[in-house]
Amino acid sequence: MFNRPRIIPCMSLQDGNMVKTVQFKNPRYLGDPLNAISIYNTKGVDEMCVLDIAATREDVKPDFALLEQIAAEAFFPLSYGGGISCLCDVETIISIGFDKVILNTEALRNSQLIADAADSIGSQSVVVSIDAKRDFRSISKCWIVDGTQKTSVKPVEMAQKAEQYGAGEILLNSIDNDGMMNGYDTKLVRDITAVTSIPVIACGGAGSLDDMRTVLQECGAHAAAAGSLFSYYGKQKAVLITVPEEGDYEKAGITTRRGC
Amino acid sequence: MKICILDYGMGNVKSVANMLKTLDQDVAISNNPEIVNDSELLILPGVGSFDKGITSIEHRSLDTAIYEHVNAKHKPILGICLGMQLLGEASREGKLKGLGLIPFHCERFEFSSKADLKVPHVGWDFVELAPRYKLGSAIRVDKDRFYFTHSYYAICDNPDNEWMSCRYGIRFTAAVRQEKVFGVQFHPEKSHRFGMDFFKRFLIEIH
Repeated sequence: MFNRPRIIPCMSLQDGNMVKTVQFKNPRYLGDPLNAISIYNTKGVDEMCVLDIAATREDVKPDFALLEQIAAEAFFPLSYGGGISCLCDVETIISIGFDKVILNTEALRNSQLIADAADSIGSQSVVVSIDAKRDFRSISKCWIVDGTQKTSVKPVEMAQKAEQYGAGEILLNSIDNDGMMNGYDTKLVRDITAVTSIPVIACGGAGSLDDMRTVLQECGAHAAAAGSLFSYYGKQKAVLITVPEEGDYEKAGITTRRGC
Repeated sequence: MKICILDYGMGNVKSVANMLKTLDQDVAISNNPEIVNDSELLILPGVGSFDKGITSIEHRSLDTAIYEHVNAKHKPILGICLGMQLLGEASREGKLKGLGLIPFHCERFEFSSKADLKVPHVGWDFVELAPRYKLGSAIRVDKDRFYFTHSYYAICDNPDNEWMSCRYGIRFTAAVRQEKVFGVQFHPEKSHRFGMDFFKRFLIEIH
């Protein structure tokens, strides 16, 4: 049996470019998304998340034309988030070749969209993402609109709500750890996986495969996502789209998955 | 080969076409009776719920076209994911009847809380070819992995219809077949080189 958990590169888009943020700020230009896709194809990644980090903030629709180009090149599972505000957006994303939609701002403001999406495209295709940020007392809250608006909702509450409304997965992102490459917010991941029975994808902070091993094998995450880890090389953070080889995962101890 | 991917408004029809086009196949995404009629292979893709799927097929009179293609003309059909489940007789997910082309029904994965297994089953897995289909088959999948995302799985009335199997908590049927009717629970179109290889060999096998 193939027993390694999913490792998922996260691609952030802004104005059609691939970028990478630090704590959701200072997007750095990385290159053309289609180039990265062709590398991911060759390397055979497990899956990819595409996130438009400006669409909701700028109140624009997803860039369907670009997404269609991405989907035409990518022969692996694709999810998309950013600027999805109605069921018609959900259905368009799927019809142009994506497998899952990622709902964030709208999922929190109007959770009925989670249920409507699940009803239309199936719950396995509906991912609710939670962008969590801790305050000075280390209390975590959900932030929306690309991490620019604080809410009073706790990530644990949002995760449970997402599951109740029929989400098939949770993409759990830590704003504090985003781009820091110092490891995931392991407490946050533990808190969420403890209260949900749907798969949780941990995101935000991965700096090494060992960070991934920790979150997968000690915190209950079902999959590990990362941006910087797949985009940078070396201490100077030179831009280089890379994907580890199977042997690297094995060496890092990312080997066991439940159910095999 | 002239391939028609049935467009019945359920999900990701484009990605199947994208992969088949890279294999230089003559692919149409359609629900036009003439194109369906003219095709050598039908593909029934699909993501979504069982009842919505079968309703959408019937709404477009595609059920008649499928029966004509399979039963009258003895031409092959391949169901993918929900498309595979719809080839069966029923599913625990819905109340309506399936196409009934192969005698199986679908059950939901149920695990004890102790097992700590998530539903849906999402991720990559190896599949195993049933011994009776190994000999003389173009398909060799035992070392290939495929992408799965599903909460329901097929249970065949007749074990001979089990084409491939996989494990998730339990051993389950990952693909079904009967004469020229084929169905795979996984997504070959999303399984990069392994999926590409599956399609190549499948097209040889049915040729």
